[in-house]
Amino acid sequence: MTTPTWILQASGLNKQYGPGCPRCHQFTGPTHNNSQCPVCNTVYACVDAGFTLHQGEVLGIVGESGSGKSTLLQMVNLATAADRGHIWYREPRTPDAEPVDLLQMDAYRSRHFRNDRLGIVYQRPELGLNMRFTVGGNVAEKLLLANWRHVGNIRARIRELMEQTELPPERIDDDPHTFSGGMLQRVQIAKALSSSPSLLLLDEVTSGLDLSVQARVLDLIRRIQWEQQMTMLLVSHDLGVIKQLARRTIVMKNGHIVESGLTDQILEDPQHPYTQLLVSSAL
Amino acid sequence: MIAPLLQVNNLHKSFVLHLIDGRTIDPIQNVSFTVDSNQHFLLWGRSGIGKTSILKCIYRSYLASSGEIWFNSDQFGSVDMVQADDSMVLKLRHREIGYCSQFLKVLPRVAALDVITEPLVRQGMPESAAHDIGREWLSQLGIAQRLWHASPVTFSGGEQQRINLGRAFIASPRLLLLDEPTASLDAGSKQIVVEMIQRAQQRGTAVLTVSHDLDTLAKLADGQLAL
Repeated sequence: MTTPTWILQASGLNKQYGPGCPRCHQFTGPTHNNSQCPVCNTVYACVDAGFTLHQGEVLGIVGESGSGKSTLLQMVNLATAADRGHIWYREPRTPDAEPVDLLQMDAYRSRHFRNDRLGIVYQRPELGLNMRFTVGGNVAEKLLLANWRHVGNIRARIRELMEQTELPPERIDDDPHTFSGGMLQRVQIAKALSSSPSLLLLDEVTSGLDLSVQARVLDLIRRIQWEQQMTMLLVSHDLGVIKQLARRTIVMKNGHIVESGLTDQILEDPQHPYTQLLVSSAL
Repeated sequence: MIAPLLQVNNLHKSFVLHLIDGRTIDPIQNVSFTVDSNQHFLLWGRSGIGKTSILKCIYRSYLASSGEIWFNSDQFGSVDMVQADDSMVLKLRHREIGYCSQFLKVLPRVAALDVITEPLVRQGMPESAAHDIGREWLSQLGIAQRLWHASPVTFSGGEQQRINLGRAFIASPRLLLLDEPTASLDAGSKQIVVEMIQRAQQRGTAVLTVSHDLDTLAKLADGQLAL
């Protein structure tokens, strides 16, 4: 029997904001084009979501604003607590070990997992970086949380990461305010990669950047993915970004996964009415 | 008896156009055929009859509505491409099934040498070794050396198509799906395609071609189906 190659298997993930009421299901979901119950005002951010992520693959999550894609990502990031569900994680360094349910971990292990095994890059640099720290200080923060202690080793690692992400290492002690938007995204990527995570989460990483900078950031992500065989969960509303990076894609609407499949199949033969609308709206 | 490499049984494909009142289009209805190892099989017929849709159902860029598409995998045995999960399809695409679309679609900042060698590098070949092979292929395809480090988006239609075909052939998949491989090519380039198909067959690749260029391709085919 071959060892399964998945590293993350999520099932039945739910997140709602509000108490819910017996009539919620009559008014919310993709068929009603609504995430909020008009009776009790409960917002259904994510409903019964599930997916499998294999070692070394990039899984795309697309959908319009408010569809629940970032909520799903933040549940995997253990930053948003799921109401129900499971996220089984299999450590790629010890594939024979029993998978663990990330949602059942205590606070200490959960924090350690986030710092050591996960990396995240946000759309807005100020969400992923502390703008009062230097560039090096930002990357060092994650290394310190992942139990790095030797200052010389930390600085050497930061310089290595800056080179890897096409940032000038001599600017290690510079203020992030002096960096452009594209450079700040690369600082976030350097920070996310610093602890050699097994899973990289990307939340609209190129939105708001001009086209040439977008291309450079995407090329960098693609290179890192290829060279390190990095497993990635990629949230974007831009089908062009998904097409470039993800081989499988899930489509979300009103908190529900309405379709999932190979990215080329999603783009060329979309099945769900919403996916057809999404694909037909691409520029 | 040796099982065929590809067996398509009663393939049916419908498109439901939800944005146009749920209108249904049925380009493929009850299509069946088999392709053996090393065979060159030709599907031909007028434009719009569903030739490309059949290829895309086999490659799983389209989801078949019903029927079976059995692929006899070296690694996984018989796999029904209609029912196989996405991960299995990706594994087969990675090693055993290649697809060449009618038009080359590449990023405008990737050099022709990298475009043509991408399938080899993806299979784990070191870049320098892949580039050595890539240079040979570009030379055989008649692409001028000064263009090797330029992006193919700047090339002529014929040059782009030769790059497109080279990329499909270079990794020697067990089954290669070719969509109108001689469209937009001059007589000399068509001859290059003919030789590529013959060489691929000698290397053990079965080729399934859809085309309406019967003059060039029919004489090469050892099996064919008119749609």
